Amino acid sequence: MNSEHPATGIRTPVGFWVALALCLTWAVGSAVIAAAHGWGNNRPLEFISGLAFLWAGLFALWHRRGNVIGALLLAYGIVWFASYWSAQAPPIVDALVYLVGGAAGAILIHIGVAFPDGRAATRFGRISIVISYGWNAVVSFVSEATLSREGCGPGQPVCRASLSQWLWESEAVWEGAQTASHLGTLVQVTLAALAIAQRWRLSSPAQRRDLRPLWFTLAIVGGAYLSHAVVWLVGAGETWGETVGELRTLAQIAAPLTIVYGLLRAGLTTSAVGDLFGRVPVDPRSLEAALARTLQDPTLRLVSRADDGQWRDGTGAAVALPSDPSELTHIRTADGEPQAALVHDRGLEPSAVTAAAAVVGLLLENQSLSQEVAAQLDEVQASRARIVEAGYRERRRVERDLHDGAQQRLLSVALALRMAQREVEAGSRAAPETIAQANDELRQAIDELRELARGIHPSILTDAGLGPAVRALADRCPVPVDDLQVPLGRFPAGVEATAYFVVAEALTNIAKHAQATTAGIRLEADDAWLRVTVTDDGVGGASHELGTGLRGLRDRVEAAGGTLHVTSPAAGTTITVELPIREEES
Amino acid sequence: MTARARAATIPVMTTLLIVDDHGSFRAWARRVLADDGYEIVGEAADGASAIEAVIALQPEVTLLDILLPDMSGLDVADAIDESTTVVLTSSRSEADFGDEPRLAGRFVPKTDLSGDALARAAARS
Repeated sequence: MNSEHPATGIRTPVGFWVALALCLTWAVGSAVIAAAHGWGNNRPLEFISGLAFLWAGLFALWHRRGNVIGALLLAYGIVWFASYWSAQAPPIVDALVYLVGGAAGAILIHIGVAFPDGRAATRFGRISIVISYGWNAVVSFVSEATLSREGCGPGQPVCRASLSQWLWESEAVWEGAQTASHLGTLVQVTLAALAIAQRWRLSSPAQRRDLRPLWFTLAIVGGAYLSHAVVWLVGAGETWGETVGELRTLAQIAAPLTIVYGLLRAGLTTSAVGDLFGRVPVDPRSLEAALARTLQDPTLRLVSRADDGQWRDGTGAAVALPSDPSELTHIRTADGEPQAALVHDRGLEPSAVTAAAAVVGLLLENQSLSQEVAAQLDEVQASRARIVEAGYRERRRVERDLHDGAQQRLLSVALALRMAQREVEAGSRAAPETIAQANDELRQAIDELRELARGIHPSILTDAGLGPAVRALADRCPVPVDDLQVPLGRFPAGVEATAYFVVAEALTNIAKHAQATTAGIRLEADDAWLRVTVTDDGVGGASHELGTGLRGLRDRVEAAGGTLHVTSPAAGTTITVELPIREEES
Repeated sequence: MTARARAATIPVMTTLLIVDDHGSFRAWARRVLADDGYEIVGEAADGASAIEAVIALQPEVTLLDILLPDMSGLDVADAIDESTTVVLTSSRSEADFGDEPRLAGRFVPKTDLSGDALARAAARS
């Protein structure tokens, strides 16, 4: 929220107490000087009112660092007590007190317009603040510079010092400045009221709720001043006037307290934490900076736990976590493990830090999920590419097999028949023998076509199911299959095909590479899963990092939603595949 | 019978080398082409041994399969073109090889293989 403001704030409890002591010194010192001149009726209450502003300012600076309202309340309190120095100090100080006093009204306007987040909600609000300061500065200066010094002279202590002593005394200009001052108050109050109204109009329901203390403050102060004016207008007795005057001072005590209450109550930091969602920074350093801005703690550090258990900051440097738990807020993953932590000023409001930690937890969780999904996507894309490539490879193999096998046989048959035809035409006795040879070639061509077709998709799998098909594979395997366990019944066609090709490929590998003496095939099914285990007692050393065959199998299995594991120590290999039994969507 | 008369009645047979990696095809091609009057001087099952056989046997015509296990028949043809008349053959059709210029005029599909077809292609090449 308040990102362009420098973080004005008191950082440590020591600083808070020192500042409070300084303020008290200032207040009491000022009061002692004023008391030398005699306390008026309202002086004790006024003293408390000024103290209320000082305390409220410090408190607000401490609890809402970065929010300018604390500084404004404090400034107002200081200016308040500065007025006690009037006519007590060297003339130039006295004049300065009057000049500074002129800023008081502007400070109040500033507080009203900037409440509760320390910033004017609109450009109009900012302009109205600038006008207030400008107007008061000019009017105060001009009044001071032109104040009539008539009747002043040596031995007349009631005549206070003013700048006009050294500048140009002018009754007419001074009068004009007084008119401008009254008019200015009207204008400034009107502008401020409009600015506050504008903020109200732009506010969300929650923000309007935060504005309520301001209305309350304005109501008490306005009510007090109004009754004062009414009493003065109707000419009620002095007692009434004094009572109402005291009421007004009481209202002035209440005002800073209400403002501070409003500041503390406002869900500023917490709602600013929500803003973090809107500008999700990706890298840890920007996230840290965003958190520091949001929580208004420039010392804030976001540290995360590396794989080695060491805590590290955004640059990767190892950091030691603070021992004071109030300076540390853990950010936990869904399983409750601390994966990161915020190291922060212990003055931060715990609820805001907890909320920020929750946001960061979600962001980090989201980030790690995104990375996980991206990695999975990469793997799926790679696997898909491999499956497509395997498909092409398979087609090339089929083409090659057809070309080298059946096609050559059929060409031989064609040549043989041509030969036989010539022999028949020539009346040769060799013709029957040639035709018999052609018949042999034809039979071999048919056998090869059948083998090829079975390689593409075994008809036994379609017709009889997985059990008989795997049994047939085991029967044809050159390595004897000692341990064979196949399920009864049928499974969805995709599951049967995947399981079949797993067994076929595994047996091919065993026959080609394993140098095994026996093999085992186990197919076990429950309601949800079909588990295929193929073992051998060969040399081992198989891995799906190595062979395209095993990698292709894994791709097929994973595409079917299953998993493939290869255990291949020094001796023997076990391939375990688990396939979900899902009915295919037609 | 004079030598001249013998030459007229028994034509001088054209010597032929058959290069193909499929044994059964070589065997049947040998029978058909021998019946058509070629003298089969040798067979080779791959490109390297085809080149050696051409050097050793000096066949007038070489029937050369394009798809050989070790190298392309077209490359073998380049190597032996100077020494023998090459006729290329394949179980694929000529169109399967695209616009291969080295095929032009001297290709006989295996399905059409006969002494006449071989002679025509040899004459063109």
